[in-house]
Amino acid sequence: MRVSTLQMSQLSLRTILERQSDLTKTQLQVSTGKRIISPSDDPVGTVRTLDLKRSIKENEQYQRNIDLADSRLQLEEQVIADAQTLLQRTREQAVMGLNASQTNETRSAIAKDVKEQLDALYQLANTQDSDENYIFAGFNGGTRPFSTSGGVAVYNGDQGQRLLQISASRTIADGDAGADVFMKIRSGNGTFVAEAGTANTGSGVLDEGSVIDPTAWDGDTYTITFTAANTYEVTDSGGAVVATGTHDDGDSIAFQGVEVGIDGTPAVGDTFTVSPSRYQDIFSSLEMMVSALETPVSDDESRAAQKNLIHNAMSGIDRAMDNLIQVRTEVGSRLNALESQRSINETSQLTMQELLSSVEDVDMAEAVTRLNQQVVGLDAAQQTYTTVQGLSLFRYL
Amino acid sequence: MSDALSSSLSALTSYQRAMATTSHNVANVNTEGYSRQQVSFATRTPSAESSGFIGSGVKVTTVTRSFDEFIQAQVDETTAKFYSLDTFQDFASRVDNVLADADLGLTNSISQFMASVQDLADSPDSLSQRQLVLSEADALSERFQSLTSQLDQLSSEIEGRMASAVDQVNALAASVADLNQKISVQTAATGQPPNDLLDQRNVAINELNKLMRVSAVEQSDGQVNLYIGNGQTLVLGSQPYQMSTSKDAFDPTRQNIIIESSATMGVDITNQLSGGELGGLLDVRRDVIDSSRSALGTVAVALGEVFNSQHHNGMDLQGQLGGDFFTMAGPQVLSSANNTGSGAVTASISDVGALAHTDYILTYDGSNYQLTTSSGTPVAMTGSGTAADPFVAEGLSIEVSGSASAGDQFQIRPTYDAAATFTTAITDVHDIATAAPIRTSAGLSNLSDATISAGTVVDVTDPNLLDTVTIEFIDSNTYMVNGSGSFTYTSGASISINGWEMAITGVPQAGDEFTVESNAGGITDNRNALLLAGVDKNGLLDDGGISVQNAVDRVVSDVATLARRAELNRDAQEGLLNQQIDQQLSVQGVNLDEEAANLLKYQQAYEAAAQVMTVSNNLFETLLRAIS
Repeated sequence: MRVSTLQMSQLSLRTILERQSDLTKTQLQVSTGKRIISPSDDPVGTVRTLDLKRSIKENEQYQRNIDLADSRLQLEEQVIADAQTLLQRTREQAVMGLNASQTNETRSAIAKDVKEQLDALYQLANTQDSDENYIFAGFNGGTRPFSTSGGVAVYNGDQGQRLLQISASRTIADGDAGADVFMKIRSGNGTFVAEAGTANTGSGVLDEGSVIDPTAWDGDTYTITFTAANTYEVTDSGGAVVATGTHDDGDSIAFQGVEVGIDGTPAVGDTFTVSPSRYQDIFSSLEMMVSALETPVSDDESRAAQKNLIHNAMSGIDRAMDNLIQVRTEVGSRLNALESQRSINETSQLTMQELLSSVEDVDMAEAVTRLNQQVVGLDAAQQTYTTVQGLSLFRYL
Repeated sequence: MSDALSSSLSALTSYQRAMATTSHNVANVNTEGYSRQQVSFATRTPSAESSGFIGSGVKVTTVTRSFDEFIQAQVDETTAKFYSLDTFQDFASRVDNVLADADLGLTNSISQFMASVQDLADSPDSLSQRQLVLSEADALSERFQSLTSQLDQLSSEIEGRMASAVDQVNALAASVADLNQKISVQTAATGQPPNDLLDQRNVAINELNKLMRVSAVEQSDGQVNLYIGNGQTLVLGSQPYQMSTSKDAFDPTRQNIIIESSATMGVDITNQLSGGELGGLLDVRRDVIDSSRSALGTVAVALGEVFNSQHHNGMDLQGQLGGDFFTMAGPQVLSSANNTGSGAVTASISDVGALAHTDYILTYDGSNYQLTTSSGTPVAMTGSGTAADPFVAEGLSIEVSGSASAGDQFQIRPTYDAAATFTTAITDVHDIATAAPIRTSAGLSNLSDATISAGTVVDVTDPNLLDTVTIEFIDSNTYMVNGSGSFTYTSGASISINGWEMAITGVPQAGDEFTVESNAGGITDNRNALLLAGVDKNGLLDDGGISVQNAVDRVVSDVATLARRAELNRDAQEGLLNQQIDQQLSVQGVNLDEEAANLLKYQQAYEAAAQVMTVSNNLFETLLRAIS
């Protein structure tokens, strides 16, 4: 083919320019470490990069949420543990108060101590977090959740439970409403509560009672009335007699699938009621114990009334402890869940970062090799240019 | 002897011309578009004598240029394609870099904003966290606005370049017409080809093709006619037709391209133009700038809509239901400058999910309104166009008023203005609705452990939504609402009153109470914040298949793909163009070595002819001496 002079120089120049442009691109890749310099280099890769970066950010967010939930749950767990210790101590004092060697004075001293515990329990239930929000107030974090009104605990919070996002598809509660922790506690043995009539004159002292046959228990309120010495009858809420029998000191009375033990000797006309459990908040139980311990006793009758009240309060404390254990177990399992989610998130973070790197980052070894080849190529093109340009017949004229 | 003398003389003059041509070639070795010229020699008419025909020397018959009109036509066509793609790729990659930038693009702003909402869900009552959400929302609004304004800047640059390209086309068309005139005159006068003028005309036509595709048709008198697109004449012989720009009937910031014609009115050739810089600019305006702006707007509308509607379902720190979090303009409606009636059209988006990512033209035909997409596809509308019963089509709700004349047109661009006007509506940090509007509780004196679910809002517009509702059980299977009525209870079944919905599970006892009430005071409730933090993942656009995140990805990938394709096509055309220019240069271009050889050849012939003159002179003198 015929070649013109302009063509030769243009061809060489074009080659040099093309190689310079390739070299610049490689140089950019090597210096930035990125494979994709401009989005149009790899549209699919670009979108993938954006997606991965977004997911990585979200994942970091989930890790922050986990840290936060973790610290909040740790605080809650600590408070519950403190409450457990406190209730344990109160229970021991209740047992002590039941001891026959106690006098009215020592019992009153115990009552003072229990009152202190009660105040401490209020404080625990009104614990605030570092943001000064009450941790047991549900959604009403700005409102002090527990207060007393006429010696009765009032719950001012609500029953809401806040959830935090700990992965794209998983949320976890960062606390519990105070109602669930301190208020919604079953009285008695959890199924029913046995109480002595306030006008009783005998020395009958009830135990907590138990359920023998859950299918036979219908949740009605029953009254055990001693119709004669050692003889009782059980009536339901409609007044129908459901059981009769005789009772000796320490015997249990069974009816409708439940049984309650009565120590001592009830007087004729004494009544004992068995009614379904209600919610009895922990503060009321302690309040009941305080008032029982504070009341001076002088005879069998008042001693029995005191024992019955203390038994009831102790049942309340036992149920409260059961409830605290349950809440604490739940908190513990949430903490475990957080821990395992944290490591899942860490793994996926690592995977995503590797993926991002494989999409976005340049293969250094390959890029540097390419850079060297391109430098050699450019050098050759430049040398060719000068050599070819030097050729001319006119030099020999 | 006089024969020899005159033969030599003819040789001397001929080779002088040949050397002049050679030196012309050498001089123009680097002239763009120059075709090397060649001298054709021929013998002069011999004198007839009895002894035979005696030759009488040499003459130059013509000077021709080495030129291949087929290669030239190919080069012109490829040039038009290459410059179109080059311009397109230039703008597309600039748009692409703006939209897809990891730090400056939309993706980052949206995820920063969503992250701040997620942080707020962790501490919903924190005022500093609320402030951060508003700051990020403002940053996001600014991002939308600045991305739009960058597109607007590119758009005005495009308009500017269009105007200057049109001026250049006019200048080149005039020069082609002028050259046509000169070429036809000189060809007629001499019968010889005016090589340099022909070269100049080829260069001018090639320059025109850099601006837009023109096809050249050569006439018998050597003149060339130039045509655009569907045969619109640009140059007819020595007559150029002026191109000009005029404002678009709908959008006065846009220009259309008009060419004067024999008709009194100019002809709008905007849609016929292709190739060259102008073609590239028109393509990029339509396919990249306008569509990116609308796509950005779609993201803005989608995010605004989905965030607002979730925000409406929440309750703020003051116990009020959430208002609009973002605001943005509705569809842009432009009336044509040619409208003669008083008709006015307003449009709003009634269903984001049904939006079809296109612009529309609404035309009044004298009795009915008809909707077509901007590419002309008819779109069916329901409704009658009144305020009470608007036209509805593809997610748009269109209202017409006044009286339009037949032929009046309105352009509707559903999301064109949304990104530019995207702003945060909330200024008070207390107004962010992070809580759910209602809360539920089970009575603390309940006998059973039956539970009530947290409840959700199904109709936030219900006027009684925040009223306290107490559900009291008469027995395990029946309940009253606010102390009246008797409803059958099924454990776990949803109970819906006053615009909310919840479920009670378990076996309630007679007397058990459950309450649903306003969540005023629930400052640490994050239920709505959690939902807000996830809205960018909710399917919404394209009938619920595309989330805001997907939509952002789509904006980026659409432009990047266009830029990528333009780059590949551009590179392919560049290769082809270089190849064709090589071919052309190999025919047309001057080779200095060749010229040097020719120079030597002509020099030797000239010297030989001069020597013949000397010899004939000597012969003449010998004869004179013999006579004297």
